[in-house]
Amino acid sequence: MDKTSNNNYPIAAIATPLGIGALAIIRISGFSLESIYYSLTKRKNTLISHKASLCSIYSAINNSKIDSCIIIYYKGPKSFTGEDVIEINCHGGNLIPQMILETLSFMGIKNAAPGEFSLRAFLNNKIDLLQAESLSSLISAKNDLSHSIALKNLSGFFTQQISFLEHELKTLLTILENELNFNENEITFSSKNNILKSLSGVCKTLKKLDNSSAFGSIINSGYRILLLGRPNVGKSSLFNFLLGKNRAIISEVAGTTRDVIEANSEIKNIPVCFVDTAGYWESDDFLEILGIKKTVKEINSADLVLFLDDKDPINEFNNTDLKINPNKLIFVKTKEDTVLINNKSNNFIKISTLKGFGINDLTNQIFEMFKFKNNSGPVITSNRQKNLIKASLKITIQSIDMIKTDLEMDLVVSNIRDILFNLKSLIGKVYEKDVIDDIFNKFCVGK
Amino acid sequence: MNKASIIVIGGGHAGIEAANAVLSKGHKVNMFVLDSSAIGRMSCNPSIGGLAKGHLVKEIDALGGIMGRAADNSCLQFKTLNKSKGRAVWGPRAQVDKIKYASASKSFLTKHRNFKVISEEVVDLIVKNNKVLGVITSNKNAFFSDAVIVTTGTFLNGLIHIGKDNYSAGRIGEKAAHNLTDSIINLGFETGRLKTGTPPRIEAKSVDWKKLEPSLGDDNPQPFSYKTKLPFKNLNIPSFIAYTNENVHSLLENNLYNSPMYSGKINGVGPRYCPSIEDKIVRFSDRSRHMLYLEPEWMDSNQIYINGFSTSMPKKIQLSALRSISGLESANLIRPGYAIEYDYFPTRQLKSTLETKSISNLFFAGQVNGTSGYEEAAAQGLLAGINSVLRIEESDPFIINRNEGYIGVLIDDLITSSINEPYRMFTSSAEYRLSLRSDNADFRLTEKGFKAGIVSKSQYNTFIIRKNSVKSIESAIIKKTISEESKSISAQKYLCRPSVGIQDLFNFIPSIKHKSGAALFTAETNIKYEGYVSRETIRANAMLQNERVKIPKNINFCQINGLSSEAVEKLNKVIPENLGQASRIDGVRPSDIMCLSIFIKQERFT
Repeated sequence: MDKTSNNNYPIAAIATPLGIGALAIIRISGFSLESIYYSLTKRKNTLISHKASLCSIYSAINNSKIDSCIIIYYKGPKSFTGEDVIEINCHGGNLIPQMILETLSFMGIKNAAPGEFSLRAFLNNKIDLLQAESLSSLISAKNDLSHSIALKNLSGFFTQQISFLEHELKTLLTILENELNFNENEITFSSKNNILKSLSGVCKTLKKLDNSSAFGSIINSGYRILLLGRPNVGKSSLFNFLLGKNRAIISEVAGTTRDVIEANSEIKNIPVCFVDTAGYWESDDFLEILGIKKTVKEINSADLVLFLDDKDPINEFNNTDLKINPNKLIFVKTKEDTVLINNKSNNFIKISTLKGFGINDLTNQIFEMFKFKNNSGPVITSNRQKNLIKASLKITIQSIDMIKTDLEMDLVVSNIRDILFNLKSLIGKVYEKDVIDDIFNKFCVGK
Repeated sequence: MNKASIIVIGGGHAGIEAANAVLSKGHKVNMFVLDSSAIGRMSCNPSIGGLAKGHLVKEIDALGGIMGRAADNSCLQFKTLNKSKGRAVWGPRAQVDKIKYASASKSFLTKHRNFKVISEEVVDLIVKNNKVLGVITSNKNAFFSDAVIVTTGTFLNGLIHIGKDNYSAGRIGEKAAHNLTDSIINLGFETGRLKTGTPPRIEAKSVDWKKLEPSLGDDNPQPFSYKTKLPFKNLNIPSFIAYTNENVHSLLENNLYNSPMYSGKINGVGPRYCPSIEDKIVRFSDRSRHMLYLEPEWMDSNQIYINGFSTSMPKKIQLSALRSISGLESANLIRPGYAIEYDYFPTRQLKSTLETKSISNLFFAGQVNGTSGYEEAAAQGLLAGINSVLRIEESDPFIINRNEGYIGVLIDDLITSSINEPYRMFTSSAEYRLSLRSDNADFRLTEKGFKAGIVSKSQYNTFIIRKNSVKSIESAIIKKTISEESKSISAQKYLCRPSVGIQDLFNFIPSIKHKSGAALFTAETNIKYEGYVSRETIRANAMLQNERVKIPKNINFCQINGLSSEAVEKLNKVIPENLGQASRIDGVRPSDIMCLSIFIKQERFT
């Protein structure tokens, strides 16, 4: 990674998104930034750390005033990067921040590469690898929930859990290593039950983390909700209605035919992805094998199926040969446009997309289905984390079996060393340059 | 090139292996000793090998060393320790006849024409332009050489403690070397002080053997050395087990004020893992008894070594404590136990060849480097020996990596970590423990040793025969499919089951039946451990990446941005040779390694 090939020069970048805005922030990090402050502002006052001050900023190129700004100076190591940091809050737009950056360039300050600020924070031990990853997902969060999880992970909650596991395993390893190091007459050995107990505890936590990885991918892609039913029963109307109520991104699935349309949205902060199957239900080949196969595939990958019909959804569903787990199926009777709806007593939900009747009942029920799946613990969000946790869990389960069947202790201990190695990699305690590069490459400039 | 001549100071286990390695390469050795009859003398326990130490002996043997052969030749009993815990941690151990051992070791050296013993005390080193040129003895004689290897063990400023008495000595009954330490200090070397101890020896005829439990060795043991003729003759002389009791404990406890350790007389730090009996009583106060092994020091010896009863209490207390033990009621002391304090040279002053960083052609090996144990000393001696020759030849150094052998782990640990107690080899220090087994030491090292010129052609040929034998067993198993309850299963998979051994395959694969036991064992272990070893190797490779990144010699750690001040301090002390070593220094964090690697990369291109 070239951006780390020299890490002692000051760097600067516009930390806010480009474009028209009221304000923009320019961030500078490096050592001995006082001189930069003095030449930018032409002031001679003593710089006080963590204090905002209103100053004029002058171009180093032609000495003209660029803008009136708020400058905050953070003396390292009490700063984001651990170095001295200056943040310039200037007026937004394309011109002013760019002019300030040009002036800084003129003064010999390099433009920061993507992720370089965070990399320096990591190098100076201000954040660990997990926190860095969280920071990256925080910035790219698509919805409120992923935002709050990234924030929680950033606070070090995840790291704490991993460190706890690490401590637990280290203690166990010390005991077992001692048994391998010494003779029976030199020390007393610990009981098999104690070892199993401690390993089972580790296993439990790892399982929880592993489960959270499924949740982690949902945070990024949303629970998949499939809209299913005969042609013209109102699938697309419902699809559009649900999206119209919410922020949504509609995307076409890659492929030659318009098989399905997906759209990401939220129901009370829970990320969902609605999938409209209109494309092939309404095409001629639906009755053909290919159409049914596709439908079954969609059903299997869905977290919830809404089966729609304008007459009798339950009866209509039974007429098809489709098999769907009742726990992920909701029947919806559409086109209830005439009377006020009471949805309390039925085993299906009546709606009217024309009048907006029953839609709240439907979204409430969807929310009820998913809200308990929310996770209060740390959540795994990246593939790197997921793979390391999965590998650790697998080896832990294997080790428990090995102890139960009295398999050689040198092999068990090797397994435990493996788990520890994985967990250390997880929080960046093992130096792996590729991994670190990869994580910091995901950042936008300025962070 | 002309024959080089190398001076080895000291005739202990390190000195012997150093001399042997130099002689194997065809060069001359002048060995300086205080007493020529003490060459190869075992100063403490009458045994070679044990947990992790057995691995070292096998590796020394795989590299053409002496220790394994000498132990096989003088073996009284052979036993593999830790047999229930997995074969990677099995510790082969021989109880030996100390007299035979010393004479066997010595005879391996004296058969070389190029070997000469000089019984004079070395008092000074001749150094010019930071290069050692020879030594000066107490008789004011100067001897010149191409390299000097210091293997003086506990003899440097040795101070023996028994109760409140102390006097200067190397070993009990042998004098200490004083002037050499001073001259080494004058060259700018730092020294530290360590402590170790030895148990009392008692008269065999004063022991009531009937009251003790005999303990025998293994029935058909494999010898240490592949040069030792099979079947391995094994006398299987028993040792005997005795136990301490509450009376012994309270007697010692009441006299702690008499122990130099507890009265503050000893400044050196003692090992935690080989505690004296008074240490054990204080630290494990919940235990009502400790196990002791009574071991003969040589065949039909009247002198018995009490393994587990190291002490520095006054003679009188030692005797009454012993006499409170069942079976030892009328025991007579031949020699009391004692503690010895001695100087060592902190090993951060050495390169991974064991050459000193500041004086070229000067090597330190063995207990002077702060290690404990015969095997640890011998391993270093071998490495220093071969590297002294390679240094003179200006060839590439002979380095054993951490994934190649315990010797590599030992030396790397020594030069990267600052020790605060005598260093003992443990299997837990090896990250690649499953691949570094005692049964495959030859597979790991013999070829390498042969290429370096310390393994003889005949030993190498023996290894090739064994290697082919193991490979043929393995391929026969890999090719074979066997049927079990009308299902077919690969023989390899079948062998991986915990309850299955290679002998269970004899009926299916008759061709392997007549192979040697050692070959069958190695093949079986290779197959059974394969899955685990490959995962271990992934970890190993991740680490070896850093091993290949050399740190420039003239690096200034203070200049590197982002390094913590603790890391700078530690790095300046150790001055690691590569990034892998740097990463193992206490207090150096992964982020420090990252900063360092960035700096090095940048240096390389500018």
